[in-house]
Amino acid sequence: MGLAVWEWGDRADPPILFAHGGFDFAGTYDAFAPLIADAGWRVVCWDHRGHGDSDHADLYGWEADQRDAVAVMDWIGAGPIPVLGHSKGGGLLLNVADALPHRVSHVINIDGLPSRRGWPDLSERDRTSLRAGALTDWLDHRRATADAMRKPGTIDELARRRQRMNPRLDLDWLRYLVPIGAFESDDGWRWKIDPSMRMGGVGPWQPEWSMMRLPGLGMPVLGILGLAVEVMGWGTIPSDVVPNLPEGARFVPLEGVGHFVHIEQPELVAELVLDFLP
Amino acid sequence: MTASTTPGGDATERRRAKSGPVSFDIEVDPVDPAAVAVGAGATGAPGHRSRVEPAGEPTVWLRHNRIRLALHRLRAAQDDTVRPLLILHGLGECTPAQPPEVAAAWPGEVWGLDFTGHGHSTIPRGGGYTAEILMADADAALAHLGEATVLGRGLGAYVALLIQGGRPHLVRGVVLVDGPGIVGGGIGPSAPRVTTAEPATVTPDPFALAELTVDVRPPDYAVDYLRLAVRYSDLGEPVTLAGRVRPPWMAALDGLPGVRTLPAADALADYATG
Repeated sequence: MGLAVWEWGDRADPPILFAHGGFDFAGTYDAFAPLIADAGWRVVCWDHRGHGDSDHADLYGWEADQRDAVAVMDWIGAGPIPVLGHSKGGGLLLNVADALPHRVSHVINIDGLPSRRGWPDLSERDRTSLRAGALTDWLDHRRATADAMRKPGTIDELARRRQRMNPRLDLDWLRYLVPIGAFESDDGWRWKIDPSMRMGGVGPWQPEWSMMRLPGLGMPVLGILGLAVEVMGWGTIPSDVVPNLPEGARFVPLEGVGHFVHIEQPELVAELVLDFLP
Repeated sequence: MTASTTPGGDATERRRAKSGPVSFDIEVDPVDPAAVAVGAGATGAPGHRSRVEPAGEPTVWLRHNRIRLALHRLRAAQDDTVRPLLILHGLGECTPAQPPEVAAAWPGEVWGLDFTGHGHSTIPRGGGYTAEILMADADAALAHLGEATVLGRGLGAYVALLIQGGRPHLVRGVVLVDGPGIVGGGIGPSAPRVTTAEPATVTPDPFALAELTVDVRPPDYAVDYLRLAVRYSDLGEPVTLAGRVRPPWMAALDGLPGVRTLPAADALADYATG
């Protein structure tokens, strides 16, 4: 299975591995990564399986994504290296850093610290109803997904559709992303992401399972949290994070900034990251 | 899994930002999936472990997204009015050539499903297994069979519980028996690790063995599926525990409404008439 790997900067510079969030792709770092590259880093980011230009996989799972991350690290060859992840990519790299501390020199987590907050406290009966609906939807989706295609549209329509999930992001930026994250055919543009993937899968995963990887990390850690609540975010607040920070970690909560911290505030995040990196 | 590096010569440069980027493709799984794809017909394909096909009994090929699943009919019905029995094998196993002894008295058809990466079903590229995907495998079998009773062994017992909860109107009773993969990866996240395996051309897929022995099975998650079964099935006791081993996910069910403990053959005899 092929993974598409993207680079910004000079290949002779020291490498740093970036991981994007769920339903994103490496190109969503196009505003932020050059700022790090210009400061003398070779920024490497892969499109997660099923995302962007990477192959659509037969199966998807957390274990597989972790293995893919390590495959990209192996391909880069050097080690240990700094890693930076946003959202799902942040949680993923927390796991990799915890599992393989000898491969990771620094961890930067951008709004990728899931907490229990925001999850409804439901009665047993309501929870059963909710799970029944979600399960039926998911199983029906699996039955139909072999022939599924994403909905076509113009660049503007795809940008506006994405803005529903990324409401704080500028429409011009989202239009810029379409030709990178989508492909054009006779009837219009479609996002490249595998149509078999969908938000809100089923499974036993609980958000705090990623957070529990944080306290044990022995390498320097920088956590950046956007405090403006929005649809793709975790709703995590500083008091969820602070007790879990390992010794010496830097933690920067940002008021008035949403989940896509590095897209809303690329210069600020670059400044924080470059100040943190050796 | 080790990435074999194939950048350089065939790398495509695509500049779209100030300092780049440059794109490369790396192969994370060097096995050509075409080499292990299941061929047409009921006798499997080159590279697959041989399996003795019961003479004259069909294998039905089902499509679950990009996976081709083998659903084997192990025995014709002795009584056409009784729904089929679907057998789900354990981790690393495949559908047996004959119905197991406990199912000998089942009056309807007896079918067995090879899970993804097992038996004659497709080996996916680069793993990514979850118990929930196997639940959807079982749902593909139900889409073909219609209403069925399910006998699940080991990992198949856990999947049987999930599909009883996921399709309570299609599954009429599940019988859970001992077998490989019954324990899973415990009740919460285990020690940190990155699971790896060598890609294979022969089932069972080593990625299945690696990933489905660490899949987390919280007791409250299992109980959620039981509650779905109890609430939406019109059987009084849709779940039967018929094995000796009680991993935490199963122990959590023991004694709850809708669950009974009974020998497998007795439970099947009961579900056949219910």
